[in-house]
Amino acid sequence: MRVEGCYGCGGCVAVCPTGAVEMQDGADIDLEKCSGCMLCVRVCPTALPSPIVGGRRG
Amino acid sequence: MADYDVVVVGAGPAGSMAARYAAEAGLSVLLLDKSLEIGTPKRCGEGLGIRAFRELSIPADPRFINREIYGFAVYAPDGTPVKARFSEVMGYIIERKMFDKHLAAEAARAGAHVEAGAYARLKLESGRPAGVKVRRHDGREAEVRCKVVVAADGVESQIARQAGLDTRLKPSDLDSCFEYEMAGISIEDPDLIHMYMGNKIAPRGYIWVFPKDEDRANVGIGIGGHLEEQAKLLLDKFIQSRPELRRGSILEVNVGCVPVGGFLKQLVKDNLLVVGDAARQVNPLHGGGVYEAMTAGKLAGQAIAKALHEGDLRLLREYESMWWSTHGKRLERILKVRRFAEKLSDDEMNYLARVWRGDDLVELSRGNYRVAAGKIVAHPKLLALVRKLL
Repeated sequence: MRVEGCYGCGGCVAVCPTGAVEMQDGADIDLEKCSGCMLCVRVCPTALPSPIVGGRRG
Repeated sequence: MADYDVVVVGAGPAGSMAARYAAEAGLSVLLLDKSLEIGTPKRCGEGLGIRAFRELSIPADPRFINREIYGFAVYAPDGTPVKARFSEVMGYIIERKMFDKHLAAEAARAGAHVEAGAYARLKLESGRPAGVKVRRHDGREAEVRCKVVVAADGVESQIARQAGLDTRLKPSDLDSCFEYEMAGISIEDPDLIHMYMGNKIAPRGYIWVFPKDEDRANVGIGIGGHLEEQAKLLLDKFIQSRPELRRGSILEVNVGCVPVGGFLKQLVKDNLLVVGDAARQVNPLHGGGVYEAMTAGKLAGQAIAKALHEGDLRLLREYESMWWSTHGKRLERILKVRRFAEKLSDDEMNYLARVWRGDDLVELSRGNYRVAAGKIVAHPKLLALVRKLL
C-alpha cells in the first residue's frame, strides 16, 4: 500500500522489523508483512503511515 | 563472466567516492542511483566542515558552496548562547544537489559509468552477492553481474540487508528530521551556524539555522526517532515563535531520518561492502555524515582496488579494519558524549551554557570530553552524569 504524501526519507525502512516497507519514490508498505508495530509512524517526521498501519492494528 | 568489477548502489557522497577510487585504480565500475537527479531529494542541513575539503582534496568550488562559515552559536533553552567565532573559514554551507553531482561526475571522470534513475536490488547466487537486478526509469529491467558490490543506499540500507546483514535500527538510533530552506528571513550573524537546544523545542536533538546567504538559510529540526513528538509540528511551532523567521518564504521542504548510533559493526560480508548512512557512519552528536561517508567511500574504493588487483577478496576486510581503527573509534567516543547530552534537563543545559565556552563544544563534538567534564564536576546535580560520561 502506497503511503500518501510520503517525502521518501527512508526512516521507516530502516526501523521496520519485518522488512515490510520498500522505498523507491515513496514508501510502499506490504500489509502481508506488516506486524502493525507502528515503529514507522513513530520515526516518520510527519507520522504519515499512521492511517495505514493504524487501521490495520485497529 | 562479470559485466563490471564493481557495482556501487547509491550515488551519495559515500557511493561516489567509492566508485571514483575504484575507477581511478583501473577497475570497471557501475554507479547506480535510484533518484532521477543525483543529489535530490536531499536529507541534509548542508553544513560541511573544512576538514572534508582539505583531507579529501575537494575544491571549494563556488558551484556548490553557498556560504563560508566562521563558527557557531549554540543556544541553551533560556537563550544563553555559547559562541565560537574563528578568523579562518571553518566550513561551508554547501548545495547538496550540486555537490553530490560533482562527486558523481568525478567518479565518471575517473572512468566509472554512472546511471541515475536506476533502482537496484541485490542478486544472490548460492547465498552470495553476484550482482544487482536493476529497474531503470524507462521501465527496462536488467541484471548486472560483478565481482564486488558496494552498498551505499542510504539510511534504508536495503542492499546490505538483502546480503544478510541486519541493518535494522531502533527508532532511538535515528533522528527524525524536517527542514525548510527559507528566504527573506533575518539572521543575526550569518557567518555562524546557529543551533537551538531544549527538551521542549527539540527533544533529544536541536533546531538549526544554517545560513546559505545573509537572508536565506536551512531551518531544520532533528528529534529522537523514538519520541511521540512530530518533527514537522515542532519545527513549525518554533518558526512561528520567532519574529525573524515567521514571515520567511519557503524555497524547499526536506525530510530525513539520520542514523545517530547503531553503527554497523560488520562492514564487509563476502564480496559486499557497506558505506555511509547505510553503515550508520554519522557523527551521532550533530548528525552530520557527509565527511564520514566520503572518507568511508574512499577507504572502501581503495580496499576494493587492492583486493581485486591482488586477486584476494579477503583484502576487502582492510576497509573494515581501517574504518574501525580510525573514524569508527572516533564516532564511538562521540556517541558517549551524545548519551550524556541527551540526559540533560533544560535547567542543566542553561547552567552548562554559562560554564562552557565555544572551545569546549568543539572538543566535545570530536569526542574529547575531559576538559568540558572537568569544568562541571563542581555542580552537584551534574556530578552523577559526569561520572557516567567518564
